[in-house]
Amino acid sequence: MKPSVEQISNLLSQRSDLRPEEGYWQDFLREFHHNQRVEAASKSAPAAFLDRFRSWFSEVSPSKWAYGAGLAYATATIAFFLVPRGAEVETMPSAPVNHQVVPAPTMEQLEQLNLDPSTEGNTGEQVF
Amino acid sequence: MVINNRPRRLVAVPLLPALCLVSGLSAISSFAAPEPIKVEFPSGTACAISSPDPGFLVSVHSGASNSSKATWIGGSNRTSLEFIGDDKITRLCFFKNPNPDASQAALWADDFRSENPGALRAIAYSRTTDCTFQKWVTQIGDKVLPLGLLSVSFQNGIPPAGTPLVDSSGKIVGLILQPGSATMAYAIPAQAVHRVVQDIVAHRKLVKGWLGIALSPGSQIPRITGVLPNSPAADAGILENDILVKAGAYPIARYPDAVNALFYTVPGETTSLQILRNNKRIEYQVTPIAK
Repeated sequence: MKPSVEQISNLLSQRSDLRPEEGYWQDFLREFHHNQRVEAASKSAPAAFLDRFRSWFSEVSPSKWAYGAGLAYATATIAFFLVPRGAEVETMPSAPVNHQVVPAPTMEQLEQLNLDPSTEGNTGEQVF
Repeated sequence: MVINNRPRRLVAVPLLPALCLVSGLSAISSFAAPEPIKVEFPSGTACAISSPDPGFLVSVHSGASNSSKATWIGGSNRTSLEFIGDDKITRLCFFKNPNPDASQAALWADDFRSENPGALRAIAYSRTTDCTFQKWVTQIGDKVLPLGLLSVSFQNGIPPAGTPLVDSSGKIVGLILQPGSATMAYAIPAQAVHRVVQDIVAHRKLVKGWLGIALSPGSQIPRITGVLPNSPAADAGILENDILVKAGAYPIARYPDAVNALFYTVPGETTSLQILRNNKRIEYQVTPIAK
């Protein structure tokens, strides 16, 4: 059964006697904030950061998560295609290199048929 | 007997190659053979033989001693030979022939040009040895020879210097110069003996032809690096950077070939020089001079 208007007004008049006195709520808020600061100061810095992190993420709705992830993926894709890259250089397979340079033998012109190994010939220009 | 019943054809077939060999050798021996003599130089003994000019004996000396003093040793007889002349380049030395014989001089081949290995025979004063011509040698290691030599292999020892080498027709194609190893010897080709004896007769020494072209031993390509002014080559029109292709009858592919070919130029005798210029072959007639 629905209460009548009169009954409601009687009830409200009775409850108005239970209202706190003037300034009660301001004192209550001041004390509450003071207690919060004291509690935060007593916690370590990482724990406080973690609390703030948690509280910030707890306020983000699932739809915003989806938008954020999509935006990050699109940014990464665009960056992949737009960032200039250097020309691809094929690296040659490493092979052992003989660094010993063998000088070309100096040709000598023998004046006579003296085939002794110690015989020395002429290395310069020959005129015929 | 069982052996007498064997068909003769079966015996003859395996003997055929041997019969051919014997008939081939008898063909060689049917020609007049060179008759070398033993000569003694202060540095050792060598062979001497009638040169292409029958008035002269030719031999090869070691180069280590005086070649003008040589003694003919015939059995117990020792006879001093009259020195005519020698050539320091080829080490050929010539003496007056005590027994001139035109038939011996006629045994010389005009030249030896074979590029393929072939059988030869070395006829020394003491013994005859079969040997094989292997190849031409114009360069030993990094040393270019003044003329091309024959490389000849031997199975049973190398005969002394001056020993004549004869081909299958009995012609003398070269003279042993010196051993190159235990089984190989270098030999002077017949054309070199002809070239030298020609000047020995006329001048008592070798007079080389001079063209006035410069070549570099360091360059394997026979490119002319310089032409001397007022030289036979300059007068003929040969230019610097021309590449020698042929001199006379001698084809030239490398610097040592050019040296060998130019050894045979004779002063006053016109010879053809084929050169390559701008990818064109041009032939010039050049008359070398003595210098």
